Amino acid sequence: MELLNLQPVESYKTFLKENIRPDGRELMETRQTVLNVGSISTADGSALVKLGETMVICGVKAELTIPSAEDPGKGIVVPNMEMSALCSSHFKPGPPSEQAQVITKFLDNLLKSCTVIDTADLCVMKDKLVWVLYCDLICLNYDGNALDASVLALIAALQNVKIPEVTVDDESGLPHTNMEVKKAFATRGMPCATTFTVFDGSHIIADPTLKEEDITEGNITVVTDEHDNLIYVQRQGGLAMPEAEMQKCVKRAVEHGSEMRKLYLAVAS
Amino acid sequence: MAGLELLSDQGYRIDGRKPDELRRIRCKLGVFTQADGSAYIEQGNTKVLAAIYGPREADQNMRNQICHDKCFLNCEYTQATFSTAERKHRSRGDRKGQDMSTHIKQTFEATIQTSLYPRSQIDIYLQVLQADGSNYCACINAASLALIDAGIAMKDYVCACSASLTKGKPVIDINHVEESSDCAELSVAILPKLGQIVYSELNGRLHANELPDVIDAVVRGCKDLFVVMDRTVREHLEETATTFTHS
Amino acid sequence: MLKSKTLMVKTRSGKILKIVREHYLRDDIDNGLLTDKLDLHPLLQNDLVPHEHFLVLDTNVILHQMDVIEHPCIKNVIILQTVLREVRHRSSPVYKRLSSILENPDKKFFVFTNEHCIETWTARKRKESSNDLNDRLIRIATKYYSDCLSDRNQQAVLLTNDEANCAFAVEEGLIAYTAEKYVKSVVGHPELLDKLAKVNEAIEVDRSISYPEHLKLSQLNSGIKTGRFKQGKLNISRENYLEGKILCPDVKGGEILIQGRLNLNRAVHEDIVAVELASEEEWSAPSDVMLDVSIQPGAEISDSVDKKVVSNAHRVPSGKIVGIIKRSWRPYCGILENYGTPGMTRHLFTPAERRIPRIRIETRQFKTLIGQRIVVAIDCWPKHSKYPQGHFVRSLGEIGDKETENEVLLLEHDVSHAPFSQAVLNCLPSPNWAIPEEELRKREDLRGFPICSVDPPGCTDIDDCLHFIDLNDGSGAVEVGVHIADVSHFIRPSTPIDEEAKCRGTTVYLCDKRIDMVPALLSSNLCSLRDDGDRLAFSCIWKMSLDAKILQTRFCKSVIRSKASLTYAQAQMMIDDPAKTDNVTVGLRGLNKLAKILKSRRILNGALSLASPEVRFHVDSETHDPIDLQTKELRDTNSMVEEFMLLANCSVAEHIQQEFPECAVLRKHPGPPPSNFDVLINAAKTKQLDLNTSTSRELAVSLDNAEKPQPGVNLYISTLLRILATRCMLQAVYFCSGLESDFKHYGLAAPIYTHFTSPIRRYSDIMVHRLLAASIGADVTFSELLDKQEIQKICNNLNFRHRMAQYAQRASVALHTQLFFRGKLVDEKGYIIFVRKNAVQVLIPKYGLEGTVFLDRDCEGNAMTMNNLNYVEQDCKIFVGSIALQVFDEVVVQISHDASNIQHQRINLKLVKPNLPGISSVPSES
Repeated sequence: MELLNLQPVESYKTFLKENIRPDGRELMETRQTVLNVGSISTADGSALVKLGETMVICGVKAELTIPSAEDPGKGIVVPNMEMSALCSSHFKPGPPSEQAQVITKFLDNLLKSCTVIDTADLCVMKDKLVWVLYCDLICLNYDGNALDASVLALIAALQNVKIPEVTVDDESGLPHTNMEVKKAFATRGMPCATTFTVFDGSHIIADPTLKEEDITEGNITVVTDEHDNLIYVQRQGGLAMPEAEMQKCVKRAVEHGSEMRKLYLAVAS
Repeated sequence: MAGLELLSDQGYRIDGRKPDELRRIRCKLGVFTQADGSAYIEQGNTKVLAAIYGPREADQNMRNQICHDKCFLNCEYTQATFSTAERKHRSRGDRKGQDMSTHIKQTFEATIQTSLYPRSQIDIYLQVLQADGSNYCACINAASLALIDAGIAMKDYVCACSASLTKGKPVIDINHVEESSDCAELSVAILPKLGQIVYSELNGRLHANELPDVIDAVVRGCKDLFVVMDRTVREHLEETATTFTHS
Repeated sequence: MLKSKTLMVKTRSGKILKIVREHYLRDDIDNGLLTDKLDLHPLLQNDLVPHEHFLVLDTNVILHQMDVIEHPCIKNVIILQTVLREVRHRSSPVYKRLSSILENPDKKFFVFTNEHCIETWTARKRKESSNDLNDRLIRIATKYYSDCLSDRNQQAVLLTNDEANCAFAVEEGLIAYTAEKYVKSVVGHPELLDKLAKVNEAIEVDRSISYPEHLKLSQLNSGIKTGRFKQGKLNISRENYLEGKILCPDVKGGEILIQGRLNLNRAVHEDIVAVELASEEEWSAPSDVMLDVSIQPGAEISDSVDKKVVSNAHRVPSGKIVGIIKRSWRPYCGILENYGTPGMTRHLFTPAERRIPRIRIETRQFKTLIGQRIVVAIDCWPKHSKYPQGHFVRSLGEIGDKETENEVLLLEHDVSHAPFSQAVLNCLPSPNWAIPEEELRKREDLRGFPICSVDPPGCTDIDDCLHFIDLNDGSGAVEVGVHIADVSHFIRPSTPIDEEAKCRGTTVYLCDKRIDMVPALLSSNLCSLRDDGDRLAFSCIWKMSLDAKILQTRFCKSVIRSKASLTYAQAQMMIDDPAKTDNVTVGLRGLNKLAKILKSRRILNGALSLASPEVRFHVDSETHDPIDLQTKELRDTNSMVEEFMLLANCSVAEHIQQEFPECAVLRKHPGPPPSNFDVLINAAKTKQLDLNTSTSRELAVSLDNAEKPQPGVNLYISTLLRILATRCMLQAVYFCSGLESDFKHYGLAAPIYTHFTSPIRRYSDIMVHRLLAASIGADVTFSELLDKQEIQKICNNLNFRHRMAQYAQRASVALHTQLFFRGKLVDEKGYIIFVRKNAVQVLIPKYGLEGTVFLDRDCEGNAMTMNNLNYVEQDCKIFVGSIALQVFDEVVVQISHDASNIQHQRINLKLVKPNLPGISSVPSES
């Protein structure tokens, strides 16, 4: 254990020789995932994800607003990720760190490209009233790979959202809410992300922990949906990677995706 | 909902409790691995997480605050945007958050034996996931448990409870509805074994004659809370002890 | 056990919030069966239920059948928390009545907190409305009680007027009946049946009339929001019961007129209604005709308001009522009309209050009730019924009997006159109470001072005493003291006696009775500053110069011994008798001198002295019938006491305002708006008198100028002007200083004023005493004393009670006047004070009586077609043929007592001089 802290790279190499990682996993194995929905009753939809020790919670609040001029018939979904000093000593108190902002942008792009929720569903009355869903994610404990956990949390929370039906009264132009009836939004695709990093230019490991993140470079994140289509691929920095390695990642991502989807279905009922 | 009676003539509050009863309390220690000490407390619908980092070397930007003979505390309080019924975006460093952080910092400065950790820094981070009244008290209790989990030396537990006065009777552990009514609200943090009050805050108007009754009720509430917290700590210790002896 | 309640709430700004609340379920909730709150063996028997049973009531039963529930035979009832909450939400007057029943331990009503009991709670099913959920909770609770009672061989019976709920309950195996069915089969109490309110069925359907449908509340609300409808409280005119108006700030003139039965659309006086403004062509004017049903009993006024050509200048905004927002029905006193065959059960009830329409009730006790004053409550007013429907509540006694009429008077004016409850009497000290040693030590000892009190003859509740001492210190300063009974020492805050006094607000002085605010032991004995011993007092002592300027003021709690309890007459005699030189008389003379200076100073500042015809009745000591009238005389001594009381009130007001700027209890009198004076100025102009009403000082000067003798002007005019001026004034009101900024008292021309000097008969004075005592450190404060909102609430109640007391006093005087004139026929001089289109109002100063002489009726009282009536409004004159009657004219009228309408027995005035052919009557012999 001490060696891991004093000379992390060397000791890691010794582990890799046996094709195993310090926590007992195989190179392509992901950590155990726990998913819990509906725990925050004040939020319209919520989900708590524990990916190994990494814990991310997502709360969704829905509000009514006037739509933008460019898309008068569409609602808006606004994700926001927070990684505060609470979740790890890596982060200092102060304005949102780079990492949090990167994840936020990633989630935003994902929602736009994947159309998990059809924003036309969020429209109450064209040009007058639409729903806006604020999705706030908070990382509670950061032990590597917050990206996967946040994608999982966001999609599960969106699935969990239940808001009352709103109709606009023709006469007075005022919205009329039917408090008794609640509906959920149809989520499509059920996308799932898998992140890999490269160690020492040669080994690709899936779902790195914090310690592993510190000693590796280059991330690649693959997002797949329920029909095993590739929705989003992101490759950040690090060394160059041959195509064959990419294919391995994609294949593993598809497998991982189908495992995760079982989780989604389990909580959706 | 105007016209809600906070205390019915039969002696029951809106949620069915009697005036001197606490809400359901659930707490857990050691929920995070990254932090040196962590705790999670649920008081009714108020859910708070606390994470302690420290004692550790002082930060770059805090260098000027280092004391040679004791550690200094840094506290940060954040409330999630989805924690209340209405979504409220709280920017970092907003007044209310600062206010709470300072108060909590002062409370623990009085309790932690800071002279044992010279030239270091202890960070207390609090995250409120759901707010349903008595936020300050839940934070104090969570931080107290987290400090115990981190193994930092303290004079005593710190237990906090809130109380209000309605229809001439003090009611303890108030929830959001009772907080937003016109009654005065008193929050008190005590060191139960030493019987000392570390922090108290009164919001609203209370007649001088009514104060002693309310303080009595709140101190009793804190003592009840102490029993629950103590039991949790002991159970957690037993669990960890068994894991150690077995592994 | 913890459950969670989730609700979605819409805020005012349109946001939708999700509110989550905890809901704890307990297993230790008392169901009352084993306590003494419910009887072990309920006594009420019923043909439909074989065993002893307890009743569980549904919300609608409580809302509509309150009178049945208040009957003493209905006991052992379980009220569920669900039901209690719904009642509170839907109707606060019914909730108040239910609360007072719940406080009464003899009624054996028990409140069961069913929503927090683990055995009677249930979650809302999918898509279940809250009404259905409440019904289900009620049924589950009833089942729970049935199970608990089954081993005692007793049952729980559910009473509900909701057919669906009843059907479900029976399906589930519970015993359930509608209130009507249950009451019909109650054993041994047939009078209960009369008290049943008929909410659903119409007693009688009138083909002749069909009112327009009321709009639904949601439509009314959206209409009010868009401005299509206006909301307001309906005020029916005293002269014409088919006409009313609502205040509406955004129309011309500030009021909307509503005329005619169809436009009134079943609204009753003081209901909160929604009105639709008519188009300008349809606007009409208030009728100048006085409509009085009681003149001709049983007369039906035809609805056709003659579409007279009303000039556009006179048109005011008019409209029609489209819906009722809130009903303000209460139980009404009145009598049954005597028509129909005795065998019928449906009768018409005429209320004493003329502005309330007749009510149809169903009763079997017609024979006993005819000729009695009864109380009836309104249940509903269906579309096809000309009159509202109601039910009988109770009987008060024979009509015309003084006691009964007094009772009616007090009930109609909401004066609480029940004997003091045991809880209140328990707060009193024992009758042999003596001042304890420690009190003597705490207070200033003023027992050696020459203190005396001056009050009307026969007064037993002496509030105030005075003293005067020449300080003889060379500066010519004197010491004057006002000592007020220390009532706040005996009435401690938040005790039953305090609550009762707070509710009553003031002592009500009827002609022959006094309804006390505090029990007699305090008012006439322990607190009253009689001259037979030491008494506790609150003193206000001034050091004054000889020209009545205040040099120093101090307040203290004291012990005094009054040397003499004098009447006004006695005090006047003592002052005038040069032979008397004891220090009390010397004191009185000194006070008198100072009082005169104070009064002239006040008048200079603009204080008004307005006259009102006050008479006092000499009551026969045995029969308590009035034998003669006596007008109140004003002596020097009356004025003297008054001056010092005013001075004390002013000094105290200044002091408490300084010490407690946010929560002082003060009294203000707003100046009347200039329009109030229009009638007065017009009337004065007809006699070439100009009244300046710009300030109170100008008014006072103008009124004084009117007293100067002028050619052709009757000397009595100035008094009449003063009387009319009184009617232009607004009411003085109590208020909390922290909530208002204008403190002025117009009538007294004082910048700040309060009531301090009569705590025995006014609750506001007790509040001022408490504040003053706290400011001098003689007593502690408590939270309600300093709570602005609480104080304003109490002030509002006091203002209401004060007004009601005044009305009741006036009604009592009217009642006694009628009794006095029974069997007499008197001719007397009077003055015209108001001219209308078809009548003149005459004031008879000797009796302080005011009445109407109708000019469209002959001397027998029958209506005549008048085509020689010419009304000139500008000159306040009316021409009957060639004879003119103008305001302030002196006339002779014949006064008689008219008992033809048994409910509204009245004083009839018939014109004797000037002699109008066909109208005037023959002068009587006496």
